[in-house]
Amino acid sequence: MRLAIAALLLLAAPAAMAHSPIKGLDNFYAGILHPLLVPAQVMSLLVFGILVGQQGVKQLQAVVMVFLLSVGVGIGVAGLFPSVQPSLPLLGLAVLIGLLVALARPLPWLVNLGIAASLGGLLGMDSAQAEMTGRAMWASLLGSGIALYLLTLYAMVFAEYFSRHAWQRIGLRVIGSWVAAAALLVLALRLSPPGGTG
Amino acid sequence: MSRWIRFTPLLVLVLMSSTVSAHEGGGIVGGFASGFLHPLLGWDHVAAMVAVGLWGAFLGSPAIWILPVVFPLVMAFGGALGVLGIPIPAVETGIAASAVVLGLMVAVAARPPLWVAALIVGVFAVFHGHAHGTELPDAANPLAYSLGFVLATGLLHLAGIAFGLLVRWPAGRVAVRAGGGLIALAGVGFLLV
Repeated sequence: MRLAIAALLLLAAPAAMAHSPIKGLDNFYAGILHPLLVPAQVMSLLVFGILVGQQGVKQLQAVVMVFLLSVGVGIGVAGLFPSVQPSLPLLGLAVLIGLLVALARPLPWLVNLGIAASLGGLLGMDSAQAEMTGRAMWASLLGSGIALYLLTLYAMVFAEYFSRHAWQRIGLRVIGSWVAAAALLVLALRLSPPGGTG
Repeated sequence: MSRWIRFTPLLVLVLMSSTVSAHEGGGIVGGFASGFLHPLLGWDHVAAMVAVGLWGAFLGSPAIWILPVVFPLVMAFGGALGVLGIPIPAVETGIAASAVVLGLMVAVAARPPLWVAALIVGVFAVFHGHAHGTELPDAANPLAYSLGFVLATGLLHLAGIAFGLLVRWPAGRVAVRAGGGLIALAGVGFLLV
């Protein structure tokens, strides 16, 4: 009975409200979380990772490197021009990549390279947080850059691992079509004239 | 005394209960939740989406896997028409008719060529998408809303496909066809309401 009480009390423990272990790192953590809190970024990262994973990460190592470099360039642009918010082209690219994942056809190397360069750049540019300036902004952007790269790698590995059986490959294609569908709708909403919605 | 000991943990837990932060209505979570619930709370949507899954399972490969890939895209096209304010006549009638037609296809075990089946399902997908799309501008977070309703629609297909896999057995085949008949009857009810 005592053990049961102790276990219940442990289970009832409330969440601890912790602080950053190192002073000044809060902005870095905020940056890491940023891609996870912006649906357009999560969706485009996911489908890009799947696209590369579908075709084989080993065959597309250069594409992965180009993606990393373009994220860096995009983050640099975001730091210098924080008001640039390329959410519309990002949605358009999410539709395109989602469709390519749904089609599941091998793509020319150059097309993969173009997608990696443009997506990395757009994601980097979309990482600026309006309320931050100076060192705080750069710390946040650094966190976002690392998170963008890691999340994409996770999606690539996930897709490559789950490409062994037919039903897994269908599942990946379904994810692509869902992302393309959701992004297409929001793209239509953004492009619709004010008051023109049904 | 032993009764007291038995109830002590319960009492302690009740006294330690923290506040519940319910009804997060705004932002990403609110948008996703309202989008996810939209297809699930409309019986006409539920019936038609399950029927699509049932028919896919009945038709077998490759229809069973083409369907969940193609349907969301066509539905999104219909949704985009709704968002852009391009009207489609008799959307609600089309949705109700989709339950009747798709339910009948399952009930009579229809096996048309794949392109015919895709065309029938695609036409109805436009109606369903249009209905969802018109709700989009009011969503707390349109992208999360879209993702929610696409996901819920996909899960309804999956439910239909899972039930439809029973066609491998003679008794299951009867059950699936009966399910299609029920959906068609419900569709007639939706048309009359």
